[in-house]
Amino acid sequence: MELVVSCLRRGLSYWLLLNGQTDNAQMSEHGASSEADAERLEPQFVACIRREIEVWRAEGVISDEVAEVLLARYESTEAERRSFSLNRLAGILAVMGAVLVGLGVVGLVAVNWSEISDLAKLVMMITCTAASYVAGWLLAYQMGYARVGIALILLGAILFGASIHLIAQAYNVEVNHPNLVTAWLLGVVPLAYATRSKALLVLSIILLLSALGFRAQGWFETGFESLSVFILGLAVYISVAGALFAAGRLHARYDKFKHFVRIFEICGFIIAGIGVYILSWITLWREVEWWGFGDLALSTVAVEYWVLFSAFIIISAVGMILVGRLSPREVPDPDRDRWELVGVFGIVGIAILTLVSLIFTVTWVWMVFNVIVLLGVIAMINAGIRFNRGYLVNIAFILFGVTVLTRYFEIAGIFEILDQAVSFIVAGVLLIVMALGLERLRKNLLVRMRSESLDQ
Amino acid sequence: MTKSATWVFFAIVALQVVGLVAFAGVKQYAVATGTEVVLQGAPVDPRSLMQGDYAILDYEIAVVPDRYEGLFESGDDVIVVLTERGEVWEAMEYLTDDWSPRLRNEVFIRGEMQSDGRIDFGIGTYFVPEGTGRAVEQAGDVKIRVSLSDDGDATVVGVILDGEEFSP
Repeated sequence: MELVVSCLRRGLSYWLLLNGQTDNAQMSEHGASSEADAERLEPQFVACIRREIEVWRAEGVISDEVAEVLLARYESTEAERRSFSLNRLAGILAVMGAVLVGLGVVGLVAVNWSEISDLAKLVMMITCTAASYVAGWLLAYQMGYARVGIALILLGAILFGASIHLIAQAYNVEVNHPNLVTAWLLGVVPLAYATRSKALLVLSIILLLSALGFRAQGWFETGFESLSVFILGLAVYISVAGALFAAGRLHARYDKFKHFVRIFEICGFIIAGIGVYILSWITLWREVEWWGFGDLALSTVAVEYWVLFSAFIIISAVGMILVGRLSPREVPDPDRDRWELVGVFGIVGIAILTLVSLIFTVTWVWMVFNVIVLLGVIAMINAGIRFNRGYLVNIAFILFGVTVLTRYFEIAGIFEILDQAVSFIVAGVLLIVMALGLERLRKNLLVRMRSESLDQ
Repeated sequence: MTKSATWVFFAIVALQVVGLVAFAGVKQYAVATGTEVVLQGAPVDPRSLMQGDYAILDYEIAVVPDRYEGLFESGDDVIVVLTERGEVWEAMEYLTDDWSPRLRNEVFIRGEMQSDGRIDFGIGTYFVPEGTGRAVEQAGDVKIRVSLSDDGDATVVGVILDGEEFSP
């Protein structure tokens, strides 16, 4: 049913598109919108809607005439299918090319040739950065080569970062200075929104995570070799995951940025997943118990740490509450709203739990994090199936597989084989019982639905 | 792309270029107008992924003498008043603020006290062309030419290895 609704929604938006509600000029208004347009025309979508039209015709929902008109609209020729594939391939190749050229230039900066003066290198780099942007703009918005054009703008963004590091190199600014990547991030984020490019958004998120890593150097007196410091850092990254997920939900309410949603959500879930996976390690908490939290007095943790941690938590929580009020859905969907809230507050809760467990050295919390992994996996699979989001199911399965494998070997190394065997059997039986309960619930629902339809 | 979106795009590109030029300009101005001093150092030699080979520079003046014990805490600003003795500039005084050296028109360098008891002046890195770091690593005597702005902010402008200017 979800699939049908999804098809129908996309079909309607495509119909509006074809009927001139959104004309071609608007379609190519932004480079990245061409990425979104390509998604609307994807062959799987066309095949799906054509199947549904046949079902509606067979069930008498629509007449033969209407069905023919609709089928004609969603006719997908071999040439269109090939064009779609080539367009997508071109986009992937262009982005890969831009990344390779960018990395090559970063390598050239790192060589630090003495034959060319710093000033000449700097002029060349700034010129190349601007040239890459202008060429990208011309290709994407003036000549109709959106994919290559956006890739060149991405290259420009990478060259911008290389230029920052070149200047830092020329003037011997401290290596790994915390502000270099932050400055790079501040330059790229507005560009991602101006061009609506998914590639630039991904670069922005990578830069955000890296910038936090560099800034983290100044947050603690001890280095990251201290596990307590490592866990404190992890808590911030989990709070970032919550903020990214909330940002995804916020973007979903605006047509212009709907194509950003999946990136925000995938990044949010991957970061949160990796975070909880690490926190589920028994050895990690045993080490913390061994070394204690004592050396790391909380008063010595930089104010910036607390400000950022709180900011990401507030962005996540307040953002989710506000999004429902300020920008309600056109078609109310309380079920989805509830799941979204659970998603964001779940991640925020994990971030806070991490901090609290560390502060009070609650080392048995590894058990709680293992339960959270399990519940998270079930929730993601459920949401993935319910809202037709395959990537959620994929992330959930990977998280489950990796966690189970890790626990298998970890428990074998720490506890007796008997404990290991018993814990796996207990976990497995719990899952089977849960599945049994769900299947029973499904059967009851079906029976109730049938009796209701008979009553009518 | 609409006209307004085009304006936004080129405004961002222009801001990036201006930002890069300003970053380089501020650094160049500090070097060009600063007071140049030579400090005694001791390097090691690693590599950065983004910026290539570099030498980590350490300074004799980064160690606070015992008589100042308890005066500075981790994270505090430290003002080191310098005086020229022979080839190098040495620490004369360690202060918590810069009003008196400014008043006396003295040369000083600004740093931040670290948790390990050493002062970080923000000049711990010297980038070298690829493969030339060994020369810095193997030098017996390393002196660093540093440009100091009026505020005491420092920029490394060169390295002297065993009495000779390092120019790979």
